[in-house]
Amino acid sequence: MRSPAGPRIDVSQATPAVGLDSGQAPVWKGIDTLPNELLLKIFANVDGEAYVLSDEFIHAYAAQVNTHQDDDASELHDDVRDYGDTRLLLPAMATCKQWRDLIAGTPTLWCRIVVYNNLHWLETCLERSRTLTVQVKFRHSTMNLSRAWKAIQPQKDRIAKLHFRWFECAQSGDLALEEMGQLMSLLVEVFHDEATTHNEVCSSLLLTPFPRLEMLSLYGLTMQAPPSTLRKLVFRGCDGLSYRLTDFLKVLGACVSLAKLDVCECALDDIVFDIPQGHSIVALPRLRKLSIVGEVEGVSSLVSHLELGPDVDIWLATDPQEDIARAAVAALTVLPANIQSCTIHTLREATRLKVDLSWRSPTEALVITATRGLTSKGRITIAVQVSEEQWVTEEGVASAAAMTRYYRTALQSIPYMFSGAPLDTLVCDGPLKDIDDRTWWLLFASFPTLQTLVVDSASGGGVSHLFHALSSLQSSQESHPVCRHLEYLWLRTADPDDFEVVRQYVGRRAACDLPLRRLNLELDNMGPTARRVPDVTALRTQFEELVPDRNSRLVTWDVTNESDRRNWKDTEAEFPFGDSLV
Amino acid sequence: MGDSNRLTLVASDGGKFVVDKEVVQMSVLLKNMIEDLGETDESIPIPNVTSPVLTKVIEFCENHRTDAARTDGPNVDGDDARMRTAVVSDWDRQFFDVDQDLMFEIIVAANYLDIKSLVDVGCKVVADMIKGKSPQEIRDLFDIVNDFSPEEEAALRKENEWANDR
Repeated sequence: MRSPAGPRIDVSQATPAVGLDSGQAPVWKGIDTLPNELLLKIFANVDGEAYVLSDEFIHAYAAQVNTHQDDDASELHDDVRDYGDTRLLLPAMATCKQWRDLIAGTPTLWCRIVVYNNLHWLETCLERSRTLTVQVKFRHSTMNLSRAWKAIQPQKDRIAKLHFRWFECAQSGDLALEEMGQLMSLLVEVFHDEATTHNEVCSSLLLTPFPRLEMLSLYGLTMQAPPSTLRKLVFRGCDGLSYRLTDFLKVLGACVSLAKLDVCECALDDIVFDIPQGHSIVALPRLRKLSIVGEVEGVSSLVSHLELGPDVDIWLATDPQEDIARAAVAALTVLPANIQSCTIHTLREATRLKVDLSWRSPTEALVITATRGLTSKGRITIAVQVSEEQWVTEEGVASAAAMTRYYRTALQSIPYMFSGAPLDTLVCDGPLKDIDDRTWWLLFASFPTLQTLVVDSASGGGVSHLFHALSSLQSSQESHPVCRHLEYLWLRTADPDDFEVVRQYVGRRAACDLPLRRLNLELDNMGPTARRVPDVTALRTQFEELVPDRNSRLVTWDVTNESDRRNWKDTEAEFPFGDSLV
Repeated sequence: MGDSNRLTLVASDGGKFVVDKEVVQMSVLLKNMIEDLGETDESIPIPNVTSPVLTKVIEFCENHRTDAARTDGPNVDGDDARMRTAVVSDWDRQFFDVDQDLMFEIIVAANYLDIKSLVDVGCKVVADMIKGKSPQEIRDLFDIVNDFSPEEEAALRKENEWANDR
């Protein structure tokens, strides 16, 4: 009987490409000039999923790899490689004898094993990978979990990454994994049939047998006794199981090496918040990245129980909001109730802040990002999501009126959220004309250290309220206007009518001996209503004289013009808050 | 004495190429030779590479000279360099938009000259040509002869059945 592993070939004896059939002249040239070492490099690149490695994905991925720090790049790279599947090499293997022998005889090509239902394939890959460390992923399998475990059990000590994806809850009681000395990454997803009765056996995964485990991703299971080696924890939810917050915090407290904690959407739905905010604080001294998405009160509560270092990059996002009034205050209420004493340091130390209503990601209506300088260390991002259905139809929680309310409420909340922060840069992207003078004034008066103000009107123009506020005094006892240290003003998506308002404001500042040092005014025909870009040629000279050293720009962008479209850059290019931060 | 920042490479067919030392130092082979030779006006023969291929190799090195500086730092190990070249840019795809013989000659030359990034990109481009194709389509693409016996083909089909177990 033939071995499931197929022919055993020594790579060093693989037939050279030229002269496969002695007595005949070589009938193919080109690829036959490549030595085996280069063919192997090619084959090693064939095993990525074609649909994942689309051009769009590649460009997005390249941008991330090029801008992330090494650790993150390593993780991203690993994520991409995760899609690798040796079965994609089978067509190449069936091309000719030389390629078959080379592929079958190269253990490194058989280390990423994806199994659906046929264990012969698993056995083939395990045998061909010989003694190398492997990753085994059971995906959407209909096989019994105990059968899957039995198949890998003899080789368990060379498995570094193990995924059990989408098994039935009824089988999870069989997931009594034995010690796996090399296991560094474990992903378990269990779905729960409504008819299943949950009990301790199916709902908890004992992690003590994995002394080297660094990455754990769980869905549909709770966990016990995580090893101190755990560096990344992705908690994807219990799916109907009840998980007491006290127990969850105990688990987190044991993860002394945790560098990344990712609590995904729905995970908080299954946690019973059985202790008041701020009690039972858990220290996560090595945490660098924290991401929590979920129901507003749940996110707020969980964060209140965490002691975070000053350099943690924090992402807090609400679940999709269905109610306009709740959504409007969600950016504030998602934070711990006692903002002043919570351990999100950047709330008190931010130097840069962006309030963005034009976020590109679907369903994220409002995004507030704050950093301390040009670094992602200590960054906090707060995203308010709205119902996807209404986002598509732009109705209800995603209507223009609702968006304006979110923006206004966010601007009103920021002085409280970032109370005392030494802000030097503020970027506002939203419906400027719908924000009243007092909201603007409170915002500006709260941050007297502001030096740079960038405002981008999503709906175009309407800056009179903004400039009225900017021209107001800091207080009745003081003679100078708010933002006395303001040096750089950049106004985007302006209207021609705004020019006079800007000119008057700049003049007033000069009269107070507080001249601006730099000024940008951009006019375009973007926005909901199509319009023509005005001819500003006559204004240009006058405009250039508004600030010293002619350090001002009056720019027009015509989005119907290909060259303008190509050259137009988002404010992110000059004022990064996203991935391009160091 | 000539420009100490430039040197002359001589292809196998006698073609001469005056290039910046900095550019050709993406080749580990040439970098080592330059270090061994020190300050010299001598040309460096590249006996295994023809002029058309060397032209392309130099074009790649010119375009990627800043990459070399970025991945040559003391804190960047091989893995990181590999990651940074994990995807093929538009320029690189255009660069390899040549006939197959030239494409494979470039890859072999890059391997000989030990220019890792060029080898990596070349292999990825060829891999992309293979992805998603049937065995017969791959044979047609690269002009490969099917040398399997009927029994061997049957065994491969069996293995495919095991793999396609969804």
